Amino acid sequence: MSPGPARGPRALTRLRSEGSSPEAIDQLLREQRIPLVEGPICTFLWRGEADWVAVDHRMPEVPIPLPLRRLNGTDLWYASVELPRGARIQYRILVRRGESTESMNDPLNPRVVGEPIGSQSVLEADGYLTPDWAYPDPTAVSGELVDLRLPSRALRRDAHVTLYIPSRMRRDRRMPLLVVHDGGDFLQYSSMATVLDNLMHRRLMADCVVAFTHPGDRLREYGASAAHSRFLTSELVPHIEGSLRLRGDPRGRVLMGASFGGVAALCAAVRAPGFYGALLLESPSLRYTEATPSGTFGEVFEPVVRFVNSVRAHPKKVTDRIFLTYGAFEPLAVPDRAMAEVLERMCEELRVTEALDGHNWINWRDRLLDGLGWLFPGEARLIYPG
Amino acid sequence: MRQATLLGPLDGVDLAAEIAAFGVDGPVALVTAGWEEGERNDANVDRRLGGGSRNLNLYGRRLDILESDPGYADAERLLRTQIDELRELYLLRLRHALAGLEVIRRRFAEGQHRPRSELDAAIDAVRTLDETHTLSIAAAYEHFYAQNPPHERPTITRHREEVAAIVAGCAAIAIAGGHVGVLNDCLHLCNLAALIEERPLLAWSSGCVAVSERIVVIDDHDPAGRPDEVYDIGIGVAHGMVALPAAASRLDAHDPDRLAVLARRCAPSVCVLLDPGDRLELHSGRLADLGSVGVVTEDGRVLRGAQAA
Repeated sequence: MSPGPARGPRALTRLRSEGSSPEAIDQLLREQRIPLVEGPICTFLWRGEADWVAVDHRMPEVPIPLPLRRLNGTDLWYASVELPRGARIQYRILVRRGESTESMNDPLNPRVVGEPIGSQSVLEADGYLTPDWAYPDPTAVSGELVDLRLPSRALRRDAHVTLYIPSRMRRDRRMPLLVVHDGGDFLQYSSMATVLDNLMHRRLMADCVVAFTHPGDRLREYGASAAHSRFLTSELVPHIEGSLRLRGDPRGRVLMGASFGGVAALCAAVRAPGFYGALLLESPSLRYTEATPSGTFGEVFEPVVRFVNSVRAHPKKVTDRIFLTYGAFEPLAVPDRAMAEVLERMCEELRVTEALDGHNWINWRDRLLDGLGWLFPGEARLIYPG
Repeated sequence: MRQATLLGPLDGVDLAAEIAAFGVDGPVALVTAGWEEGERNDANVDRRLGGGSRNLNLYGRRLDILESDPGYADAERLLRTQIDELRELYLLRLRHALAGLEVIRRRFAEGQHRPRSELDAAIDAVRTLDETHTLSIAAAYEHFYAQNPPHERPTITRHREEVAAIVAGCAAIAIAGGHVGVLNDCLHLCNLAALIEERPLLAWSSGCVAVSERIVVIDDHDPAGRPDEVYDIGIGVAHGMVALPAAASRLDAHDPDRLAVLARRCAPSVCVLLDPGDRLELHSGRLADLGSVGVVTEDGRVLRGAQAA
């Protein structure tokens, strides 16, 4: 990935050749999808008066922020990048006027995604398609979402859990359990209930009960906390397995988490080797240090770094399968890529997917078929046309 | 089984004409258990069969048995768990065996001499896994039936008698597609194999798979990336063939190495590709007329009908 060629791509070239009049710019912005996507070349545009305009992003090998240039004699600003087919970028526009710099969603781009930290604009490169299973399907019967409050001695609070009960109950099978960290965010920002409905309806994954957990003090509980691991292994999982018709064996228990939630999932598995059959880790914040001094990543990361360092020093098998995914366009790509060989020694089978996306909920949504379809193999292949 | 006609997934085929070709007169006993909860949504297929078919309701009967006989349901759940575990181990070993086979094939791909003995040994290793897995499943079933004789369970006996009585009044049996695992379980539970013996059979799609000796499942688009596998044991009234329905959408027919491995794994049975419009005939349970059906050869080609014969 690199900044695009200095010469503007076709639409801008055409604009220049036509004189770059305000009317021509109006027409371009009215008729084209912005950012411009012309093959691999994607061009960010912004229009207005400013001292400096840039794109705040996480694309590797592209200056951060990426400054926009002003098209001579106009109030149109632009910058081009080359993106691989199927890539997806989240970004914001930075505009400086005088001493003040404003961060905003791209006013020329209606595609915006919500995130817990605020909304961001979305650039979908040539070839990116939202998976069809991410949209509500009227033919799929929805699973039931049931809220549960579980008094937790380990966490010293009432733990809030949202249970997903699939619509189809097989009397001859006991279902597995998937525990999801940051459950509220996965439900809200990754449409995970819709995804589960669709994947189970299409038999692309096996029916399973899903426990969406909601953190209290997230960074403390998910930051390699022993109390959180105890909550999962000694309280939550036994409670759900005891009250529902579940498998109740290691092969029927999977922990999942993204970012800090991925650390929490791995941590719980390390503290209870053999108890969980698989882990689904999405962009886990597996920060570690080699020679750098402690405190490099800030106070919040200290327990995480200690945990990851200890795991790296003595990796032991703790589970059967690990699915690891991360975005190529996120800072965690480097440590997560490096951790793959450690994780491989912590399980029987590791599968890694590096996505052309970033550290965000849509990326984590888009990888759910790869992860859940592998860890909970569905029966679609047993079903033939009638 | 006197005569059987096996079809790919249904397209515009005239099912009534297929039944008429058997030269029998009377209603058709219909199995749509592979449609699971949609089992009784059979009006369309009934019309296509000429009307008056008798749905054996095998899926519903199976649910009733599991509901009415909790002891049997528990025992069967244990059996399923046991078979699932056998399958997990089989798939684990199979992946490595197939990877080994691929390494051997690539190593010799550009060499001067053909890796005949090495490749044969690698394929034999895979065949041994398939065979061992099949025997393990058979042993699990045998143990299960010895511990839980179906003829000693009143609910099962009642349903089997009812099914036998319906079939006795029918001239032929038709088995539709759908979920091959569910269909197979239902056929076994109601002992359809014994009832098919004296009647002509029309089966299509996964119906053709379940009546075979081995259920082999292929799907190149499986999100879990599972290899071609021996999934289960069918009711075994169609011999000497491995039915692969909807092959055009499931199997990369342009990879001769992969096709050759598949054919050699299944040998001496023949891999037949059953796509919409395909049709073959069996006489006394054995391949008689291949029509234009695709057959996978051991050198990785797909031959059609007479060519294959």
